[in-house]
Amino acid sequence: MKILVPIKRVIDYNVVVQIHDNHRDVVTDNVKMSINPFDEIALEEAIRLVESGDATSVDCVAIGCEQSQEQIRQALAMGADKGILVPTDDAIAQDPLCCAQILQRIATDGEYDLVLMGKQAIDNDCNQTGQMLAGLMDWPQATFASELKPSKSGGLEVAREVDGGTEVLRVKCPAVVTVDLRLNEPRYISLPNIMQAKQKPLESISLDALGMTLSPLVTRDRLDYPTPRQSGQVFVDVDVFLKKLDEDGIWD
Amino acid sequence: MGLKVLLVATHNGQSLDEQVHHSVTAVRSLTSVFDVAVTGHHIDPIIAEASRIDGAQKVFVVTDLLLDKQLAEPVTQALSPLVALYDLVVFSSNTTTKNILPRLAAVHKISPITDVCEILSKRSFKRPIYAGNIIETVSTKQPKVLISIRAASYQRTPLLDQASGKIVHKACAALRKYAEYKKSIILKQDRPDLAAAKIVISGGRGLGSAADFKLVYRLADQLNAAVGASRAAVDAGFVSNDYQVGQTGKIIAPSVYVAVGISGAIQHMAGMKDSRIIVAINNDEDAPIFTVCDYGLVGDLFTVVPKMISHIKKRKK
Ligand SMILES: Cc1cc2nc3c(=O)[nH]c(=O)nc-3n(C[C@H](O)[C@H](O)[C@H](O)COP(=O)(O)OP(=O)(O)OC[C@H]3O[C@@H](n4cnc5c(N)ncnc54)[C@H](O)[C@@H]3O)c2cc1C
Repeated sequence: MKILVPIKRVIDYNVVVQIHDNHRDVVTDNVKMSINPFDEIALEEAIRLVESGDATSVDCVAIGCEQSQEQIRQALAMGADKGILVPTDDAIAQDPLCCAQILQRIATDGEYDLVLMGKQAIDNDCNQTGQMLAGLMDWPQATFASELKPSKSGGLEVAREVDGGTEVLRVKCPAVVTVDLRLNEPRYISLPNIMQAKQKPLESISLDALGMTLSPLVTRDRLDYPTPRQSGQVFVDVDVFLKKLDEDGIWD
Repeated sequence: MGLKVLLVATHNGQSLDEQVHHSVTAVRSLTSVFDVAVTGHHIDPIIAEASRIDGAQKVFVVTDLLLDKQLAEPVTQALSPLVALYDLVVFSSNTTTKNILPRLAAVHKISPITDVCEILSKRSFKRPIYAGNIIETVSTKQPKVLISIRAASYQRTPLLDQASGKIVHKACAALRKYAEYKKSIILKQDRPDLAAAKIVISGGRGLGSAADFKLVYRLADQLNAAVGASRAAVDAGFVSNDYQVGQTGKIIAPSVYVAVGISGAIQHMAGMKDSRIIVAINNDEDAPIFTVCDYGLVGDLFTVVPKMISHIKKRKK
């Protein structure tokens, strides 16, 4: 089983994101960038499937700016076998349909059996690309996975986190599985891993080379901060606090 | 010709999803009449509810055994012919529709706009990004637009007393099976639904253990409130995943949200910032939750919450 894991370069989840003066972009100069946390979990799971002998290899693919190579190198250091960069402008990298169309090509050309990916990217919070890819490939999908095990009869048994609890599905490969946070805890990368990763292949494939011309069908017009909440009163005396809640009738 | 809108009404097998009632309000801001689509298997009570949606003209019903669990692949197949007939197709954001909508959109080469918090026009929308720290205004020229509505941003429109929508059964071509449904582990909650409750009491890592999390239930019982949790509380095994509020959990906007032993990480606040009133109890006066709450108490939750419980008990008498 050959696995493909798409990874996205995003602003680190600890950063308080600021809007650029142009009101169209966010500030990324001198801001810490990381692999989208969900993608890191997908990658960890893929590597574990190789380690357990259930998969043969894991390649990772990033769509976006040249600096995404940093995230690919990190993925290689974690244990991916090969990295692919599809350089695009930010508008395409932020558009789920464009990304799904690119992934469709990469997954088809590379003859992957499983695309394991994050359920959402923490920048645009779209939660769309995996499902779109499954639709374009006409493959089964299992989204929001919190547990994944190869089943004896072939395919994968996937526990999915849904609003009411958990749902268990069985999907036959080829398939798309998107992962939730509780699936695993990604490993730490050691220095020797980083050194080793430098030897691993990193291929760049342009949209031209793929023969694709893409333009997003949804455009971003503007970014704004939400109206801030007024901070209220903070008490230290429980009785005063409870009295105030009663007086203001908040429970009624 | 006016704008042709289709509202896709999802359900849990028993009743319409709570979020659907909020999307009705969003749809009604654009048009007073629209059609509704429901899919499933043995869903008569749900069809009856759907026909009472205020503004529903036609209620298209597609039933099939394979539609029973609302899996993305068969529902996509069932809805595809209907999507072709409308200018705007509206879903209500929850885990069911997050699974279905992007697949349906991609099959039609449509780029959807999900988690809409404000409709500016039939082509322009606002949606939160970066865990709700930024609001993005987007627009599209696509002839057909697919969106999902964030329930927390719209009030609920109650169902009409009488059916108004005309029920139209639609046959669908033979559905192809993709994924195989095995089972659901649905934890029965004998308390109000997190998505619909007026009051929500949420507990965080500060509760310390599953045993002590009971304190949150006891307070909730006094107020007929739903119970929620931070991701840290879920990860620590105090409660199951369906309690999680936040960027990657449920996004809710109750009248009153009480955060007990929750620090207020941006990912948590993404799920409750739109609540009308926020109350916070935390022993760390620098906890970020105090910057967004209306009423905060700096104190040890293990003394404060029992006091609150007995106070509210007394008050009720
Ligand atoms: C990609 C991503 C997505 C995420 N999505 C979510 C999400 O959807 N929802 C979510 O909640 N989190 C989410 N998180 C996690 C989030 O970043 C925080 O780690 C989490 O919300 C912290 O939960 P907490 O406030 O319970 O724990 P902590 O941050 O550890 O806070 C515990 C609080 O309890 C207080 N406390 C301790 N003891 C007492 C006491 N005796 N009395 C009173 N107060 C006490 C402490 O002062 C502290 O403020 C996500 C993280 C990532 C990276």
